[in-house]
Amino acid sequence: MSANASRRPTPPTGMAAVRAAAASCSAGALRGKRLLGLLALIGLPIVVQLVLLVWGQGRGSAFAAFAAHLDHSYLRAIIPLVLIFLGTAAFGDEWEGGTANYMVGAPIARGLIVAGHYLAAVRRALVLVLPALLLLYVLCLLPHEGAIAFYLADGLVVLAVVALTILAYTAVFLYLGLWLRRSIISSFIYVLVFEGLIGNLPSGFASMSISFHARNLLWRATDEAAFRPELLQQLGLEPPGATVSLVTLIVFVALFLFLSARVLARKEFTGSGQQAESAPGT
Amino acid sequence: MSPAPAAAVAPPASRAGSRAPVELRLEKVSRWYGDVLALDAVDLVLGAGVTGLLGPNGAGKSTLIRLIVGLASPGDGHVLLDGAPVRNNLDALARIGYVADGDGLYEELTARRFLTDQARLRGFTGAAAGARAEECLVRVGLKDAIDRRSGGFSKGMRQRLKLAQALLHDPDVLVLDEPLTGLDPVMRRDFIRIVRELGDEGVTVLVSSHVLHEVEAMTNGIVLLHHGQVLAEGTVSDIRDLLDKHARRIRVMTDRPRELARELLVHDGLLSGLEMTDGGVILETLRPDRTCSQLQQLAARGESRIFAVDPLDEDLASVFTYLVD
Repeated sequence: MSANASRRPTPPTGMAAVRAAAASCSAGALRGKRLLGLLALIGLPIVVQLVLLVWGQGRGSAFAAFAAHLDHSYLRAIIPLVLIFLGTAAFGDEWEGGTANYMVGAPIARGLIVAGHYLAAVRRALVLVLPALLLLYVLCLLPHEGAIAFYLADGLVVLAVVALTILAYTAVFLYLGLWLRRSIISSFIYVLVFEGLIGNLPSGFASMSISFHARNLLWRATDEAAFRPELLQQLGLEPPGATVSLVTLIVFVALFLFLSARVLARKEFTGSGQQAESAPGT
Repeated sequence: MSPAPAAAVAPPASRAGSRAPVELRLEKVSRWYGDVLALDAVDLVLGAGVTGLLGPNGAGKSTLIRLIVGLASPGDGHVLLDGAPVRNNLDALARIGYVADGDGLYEELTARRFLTDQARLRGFTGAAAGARAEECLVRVGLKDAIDRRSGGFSKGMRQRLKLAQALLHDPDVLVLDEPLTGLDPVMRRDFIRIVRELGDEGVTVLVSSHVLHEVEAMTNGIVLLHHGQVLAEGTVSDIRDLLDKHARRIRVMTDRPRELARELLVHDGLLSGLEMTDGGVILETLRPDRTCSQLQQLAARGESRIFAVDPLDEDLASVFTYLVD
């Protein structure tokens, strides 16, 4: 310990460090063209629903219309795409902006830095996605008298599962952003090939897909047909229970945050705050 | 002084400041990038005060600095702050301030917001973070730009803001990587003044540059790095002593250059070369003191009128050129 230590404050630890790390990387992360692009993506199903409302068309029951939008648009495409940008940018922006040295130069454990960036990315995603889902919920159920109140419990379950899905995707893409240089391309491949194709096959791979478990949780909680894993059922396979899917999503979060902390702890910053590589011998 | 490694670069006694002494020690530090050896068994000890890290582009300065601030780990050897490794050591990081050579800032943030966030990362809480941010911004001369976005800052203002960030936690060790690059003369002068003040306060300051006179303006203690090795280290005068091994050039302005040259050539081994110029002669000598003594005698005898005697190789550029060559 330095004899000059009394001059300076004690570095933050625990949640104080996480909050400080989150604050330092949050401001301005949602800005300009990126924000407009994300808003356009997230708002697309809302625009579609508005058009359907104007034309007086619906999709089955009130909640079924909401579930169909949620399944086909948000769970299968929009949420993964939004999280690709927000998750990989959690650290990617630091590499590109040459600001990584401020982050890793701070006297904070790198695991807490990861947690801070994760928290900031999750917060951004929730702020963008959840209000859009609420609006869509209202638009879908508004024409049906009393439906908004009737399906309120299911609506809250949906929001909770979507929030958990966001937590899982953010952890995965944050890890890819830390680990790979071309993380956006890798993340697209992950979403298209794994989540979109292999994860939907009636095989063990399905149990490793975030969207599969998110839809399974929603099906178990709401019994809405749009979320039913029909392919598994047609093949006579029993989908996992709600607890299994819940635990799996939590494991996704914990595993990829652990891996991210490990990658950052070993990261070598050998360029002007931008280049980074693994430590020698790692 | 010789190019022997691991001699401490100590500041003058008057620069001790009020701080407890700090020792930053590099022991046989090497670092490879693939097959390229960027640093080769560097031994170095730095104490309080300003030390200049000099070397041409590609000498290994930035690599050395990144090892010192813990951004990278040495392949071999140790980087120690008061005996403790720096890499992944939060106690050490809490004592080090770093101004990177890049231009990275959070462009959308005001100077105040950026520094307040950074102060919180360093442990300042609540209003103390904002107050400390403001204090540091005032110190580096950014008081008038405190609420402006850093994206609109000039190069000099960006450098000042980065320096303010590095000073937030009152570091024992301050590492500046090419801090004067791109600054106009006024900004450069102010920056140099701040660095010298920090050295006087007892902060261990390491400043890298490939522009020699910049470093000379900040400090008397220098380390010369070339091809990943410490070529020489010590004070500027120590380095100058190395010139004894090389012929030094002295320009003599006189009304009778040929006669003066002839007089000097009579003395065996005094000159190793000479060059006639307009209004004078440039002498090359391995014995500058004796040469000057002879010039004084010639002037005293009145055989030649000597208007000026200028040593041409006393600047660091010449020293560095000699050592590298």
